[in-house]
Amino acid sequence: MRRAGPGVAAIAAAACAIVVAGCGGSDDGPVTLNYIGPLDPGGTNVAAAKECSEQSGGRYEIAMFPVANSADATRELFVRRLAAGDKNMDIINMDTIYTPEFAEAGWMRELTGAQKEDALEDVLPGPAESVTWKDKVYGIPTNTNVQLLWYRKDLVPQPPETWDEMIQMAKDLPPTEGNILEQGNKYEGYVVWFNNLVASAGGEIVNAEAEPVLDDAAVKAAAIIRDVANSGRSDPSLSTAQEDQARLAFEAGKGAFMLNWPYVYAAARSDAETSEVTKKVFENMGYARWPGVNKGEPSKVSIGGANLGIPKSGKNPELATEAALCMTSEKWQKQEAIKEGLPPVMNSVYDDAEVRKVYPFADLLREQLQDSVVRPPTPSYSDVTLAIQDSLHPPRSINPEQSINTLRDRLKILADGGMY
Amino acid sequence: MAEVTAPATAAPPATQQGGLTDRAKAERKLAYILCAPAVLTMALVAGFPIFYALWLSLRREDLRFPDAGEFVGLSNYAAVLTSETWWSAFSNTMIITVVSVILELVLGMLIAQAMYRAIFARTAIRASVLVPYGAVTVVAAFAWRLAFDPATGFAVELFNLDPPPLTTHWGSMAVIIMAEVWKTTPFIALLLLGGLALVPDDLYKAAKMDGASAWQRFIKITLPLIRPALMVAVLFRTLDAFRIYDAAFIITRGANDTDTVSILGYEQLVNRLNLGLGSAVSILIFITVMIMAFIFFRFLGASPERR
Repeated sequence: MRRAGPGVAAIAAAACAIVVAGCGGSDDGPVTLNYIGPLDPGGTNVAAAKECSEQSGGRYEIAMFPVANSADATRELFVRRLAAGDKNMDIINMDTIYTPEFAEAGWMRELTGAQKEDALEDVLPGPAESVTWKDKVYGIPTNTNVQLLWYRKDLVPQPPETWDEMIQMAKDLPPTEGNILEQGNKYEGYVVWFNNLVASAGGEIVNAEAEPVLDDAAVKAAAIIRDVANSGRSDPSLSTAQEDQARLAFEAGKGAFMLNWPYVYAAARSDAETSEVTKKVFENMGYARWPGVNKGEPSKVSIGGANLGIPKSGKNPELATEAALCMTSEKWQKQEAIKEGLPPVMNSVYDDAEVRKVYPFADLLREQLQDSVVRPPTPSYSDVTLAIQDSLHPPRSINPEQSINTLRDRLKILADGGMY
Repeated sequence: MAEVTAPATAAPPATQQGGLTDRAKAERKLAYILCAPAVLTMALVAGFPIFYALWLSLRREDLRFPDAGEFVGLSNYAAVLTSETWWSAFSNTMIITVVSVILELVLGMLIAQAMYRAIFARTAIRASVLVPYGAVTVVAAFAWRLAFDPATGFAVELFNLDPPPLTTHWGSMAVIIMAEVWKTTPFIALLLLGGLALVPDDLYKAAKMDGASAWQRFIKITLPLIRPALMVAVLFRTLDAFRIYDAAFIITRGANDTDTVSILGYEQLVNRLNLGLGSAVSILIFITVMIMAFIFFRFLGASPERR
């Protein structure tokens, strides 16, 4: 037998060194909390993380990590890591539609007692509902969003109250100038449109077990979408248009009515500085409540927005909750509203003078938020949204009765755990 | 004494009691021991996921409802096989497979002939033909998608394509097939080149003397002689094309009804977190691939050994 030479000893030493280096870090020093969410273009939430870390007195430090480019890819990222029990996520920035899914799967920490009070303090009813699942609170509302009706005051003296009125008004105007601009691409925004119409007509899409409860309200909603697409007053690229396409068309004067999120106001204001056409549009930009479906019944629209959630698998859920509550305090709500165009969730911030300067429509926004609905609150929401997109797209080819029947059949198959 | 039969000469040296000598036994045992690590690793890495997928496909497992797992027998398979999205994805995949393999064979044969008969710059030609195959599939797929992008793609403007291909079903299928063919024709061309080089030149000369035209020489001499190698190449390509995922995902992400079976499996597993259905889709893909391989080996004469 040959004696093991110096080479073997060196390898053994190296192996030991690698193992020891891999063993955990030091016990002293602040805990690092990982925040996974979109980084604000104006840097607000990065600044919030920094200040909250300093205010913690050395107990924690928040590190920010961006998410993927699209909403679908972001959801997949979260779902993969949460299902695998990733220990490196302490705070995640969740879309409002994730709450039922993540809560039912048992991935999110429930907020109780003083923390629950703090999270929901002075929060408007819509956002508060979006963090609740089966009467338990699983997130901290951060910002919210509802669509409004934006119209050209010079072309439309009185904003319409229902969709049928709006289509009629559009037909009275010349084509292109009188267009109705909506989001008709096959994506989540399309489902927002459909959900708004169904809720405004007094109906629902699914119940909590994801079983379809579609009725005449849904048929009317589908008919309205088809009417807009076939009215001759919709953008030719409606079936591939998302929020920005609609906004840009409105800013170019190619529409009299736009249904979109409030960010378009700030965007138009800044674009008006560089374009004459947009300047004229911005000066005549009016805002009103999202049109209803039945005369006399005000509209109910779906809220968007974001909530901060604390995964159970994180290493420091207590500290993470504290950090998240700090980042969503009143001061930061105001900053996000002014700098990033993200409407706040707290009632008092809507009365702040600086915020009202940036949002002249603050009261309208608050009113719309009081009456808002969430998108179908079910853990299988990702299935439901795909089924709606598959059954009701493209807008031109909707046959209201038939499409809703197809949708109902598909939702039933999905609720039974199958695939259609 | 008179009935002693002649001893067998080809069998391993037999002892008086029959069976192997100790040495032969020891050699065989050593062979098993040396193979064991590789076999164990294969079993763990390749075998375990297959059996796990099979087990999952017989259960209803959904990561969004972690407490609701239960054994449901073949109902996942029934759900998949009766769903219209599965059959539409299956037909899309078959169309992509058949059309792209045929195109690759034709183009690959032409390129192989060109490479075979090149008089100058042989190495340069052979290297440059391989460039598409060397490109990363995802990058190549992005290049194709951006070229045909409805709003900004140069190909749409250059050829005045209206409606833009990526907004229609057959247009998207065409772009996916083109991207696949562009990417893997070099692979087929190389395999065919190897087969061509083995055909003895004398046969061509003799046929020319007998007055055979180029086409007749191709059909009667080249094709039959390269058939075994050709069939192996086609088999590999077909199995790969059936499992196409990256090009289709990047170019359309399954929009315009261009789902392939792999994208369907991805949607069930990663998107819907439905492990039962997704595993059923995976096992069905596995079974289809096995059937295709069987057909190739049994009926179409694919043979890695025969030369």
